[in-house]
Amino acid sequence: MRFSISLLMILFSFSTQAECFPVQTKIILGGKTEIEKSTLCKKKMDDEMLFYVSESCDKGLCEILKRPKKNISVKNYKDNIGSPGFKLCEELGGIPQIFEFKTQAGTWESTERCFFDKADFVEISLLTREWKQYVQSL
Amino acid sequence: MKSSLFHILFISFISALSANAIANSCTEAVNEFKETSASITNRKSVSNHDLQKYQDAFEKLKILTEDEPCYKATLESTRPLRSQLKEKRIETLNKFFKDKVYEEEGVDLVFEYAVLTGKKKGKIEFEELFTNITARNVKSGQLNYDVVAKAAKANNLQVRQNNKCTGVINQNEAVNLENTRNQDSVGWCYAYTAADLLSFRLKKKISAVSLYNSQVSIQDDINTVDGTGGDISKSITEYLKKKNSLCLEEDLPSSDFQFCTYANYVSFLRSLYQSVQNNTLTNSQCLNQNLKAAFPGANFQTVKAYTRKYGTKNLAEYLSEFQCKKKSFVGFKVTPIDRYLPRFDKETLLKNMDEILNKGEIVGLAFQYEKMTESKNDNRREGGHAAVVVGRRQNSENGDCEYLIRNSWGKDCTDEERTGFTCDKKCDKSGCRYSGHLWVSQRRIKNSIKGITYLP
Repeated sequence: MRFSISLLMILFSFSTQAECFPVQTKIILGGKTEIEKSTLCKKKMDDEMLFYVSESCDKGLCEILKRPKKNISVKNYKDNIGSPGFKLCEELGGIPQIFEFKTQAGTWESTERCFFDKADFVEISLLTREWKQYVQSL
Repeated sequence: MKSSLFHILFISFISALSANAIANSCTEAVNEFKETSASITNRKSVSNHDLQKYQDAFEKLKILTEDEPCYKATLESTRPLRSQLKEKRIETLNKFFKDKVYEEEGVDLVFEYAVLTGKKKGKIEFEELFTNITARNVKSGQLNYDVVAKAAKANNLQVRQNNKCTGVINQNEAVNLENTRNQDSVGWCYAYTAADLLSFRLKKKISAVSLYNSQVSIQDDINTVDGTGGDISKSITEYLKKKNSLCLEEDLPSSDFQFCTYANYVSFLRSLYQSVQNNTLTNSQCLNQNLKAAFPGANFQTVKAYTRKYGTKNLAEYLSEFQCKKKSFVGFKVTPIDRYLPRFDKETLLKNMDEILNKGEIVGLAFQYEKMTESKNDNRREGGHAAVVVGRRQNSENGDCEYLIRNSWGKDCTDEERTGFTCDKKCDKSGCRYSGHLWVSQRRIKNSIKGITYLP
């Protein structure tokens, strides 16, 4: 019995770790590299695509993932100047950030996220995926 | 009767005139080629740079005559000239070896010599110049003859599709599918492309921002809303000319856009210029933080001292002296090779692209985005863009030959799928992630290509 409970606990903790996990993140700020401890959560979609979001967004507590979708005009969205995802992030009221995080294999992976509050962020590719059909270029 | 006789005479006259015109255009093209050929083969030695010039002249000759009946004869007439070139190059290589020089602009001369003298088989730069000729080669003071088999005929594209659409992805520790760059909201695709070309060659990540600053018109650039764009090879050559070194990404990060106001680099420069022009530049914490991020070695006093004398003239160029924390690859020299329309036709550009990929190298690609997209979608991308071609594959579903384009928009690719591209994904047990690279069919590349840039 005790063994079964322990096994369940191990399994439970493993599955929790698989969703949200502590990581080291790296950003460049004012010419300096800043390494911080943070938490990333995996958000897996039906088509197996995997995106990273903050803990608050994973728990459904962040506003951007609850915001009703409607047509949005993004300035110069179709121009090739600049990353389209950054433009969308800013238009939605977020702040884009390029960052790296240390993977479980020990390597650094670079990606981009959009902050909507100090602790609320979603990966920019998820944002584009969610909003792409509503974007109109100005 | 008189009228038909006149008609026949008139047609004969016109035919004779046009035949004459064709003959003249062929003769003119050949004469021009002969002139260039002589100017190169009469030199004491033939450098890699000379070979590039020769190749350019040869390509031009082909383009000018390819639709003419004289095409075959024209190419035939270049054989002895190209044989002379080969002899001269072999002589040059022997001279290099005497001086213990075994590399020229990154080219392995020992290998080139072995191929030219028939000791080894393999691909060398400017191979086309040395094919389909019978040439003497000078070896240990003796003349030897080598016969090179006739090159494959006719449709190059078909040959490539049938034989050469082999799967390849060229990556190393500095440029790989894991580390796509992100140009944020600036129009520096050319600088990111240039940085990737150098990074791949040197196996160290080179700063894209540093290369942007090597362009001569920063002031013009920041005065426009979206930036004026730039030139892949110019950003490399100008930087090397000015600094005789390169700047590593770690010594000047391109992803540092977190200024006080979260403004990007161009916005910061623009506001800096405006402050100087309006005489409102103040020693604030915000300014110093921004300066530190953009030009680590400069501060308010540096800017003040310069602008007092010169105003905003060449301010960014001056400040760029304070930018890179450390010089790397001091003395490194490379002259990127540019091949653009209309001088080179699309077939030639695609063929070159394949050759470079086959050598394990990567290629800078300049293209027109809307032509690549082929989408009627309202949000399709528009305008000129630059990116890097790092791979090739045959699509198993439709048989298309596709190229892997490394964009500089970060990992994000979802919007591109909507406009008909295939986003490259890396999948494992936990799921799939975008790599920020796109698979684009050969047809789309051909529709949109403007030119290529690569390192020799």
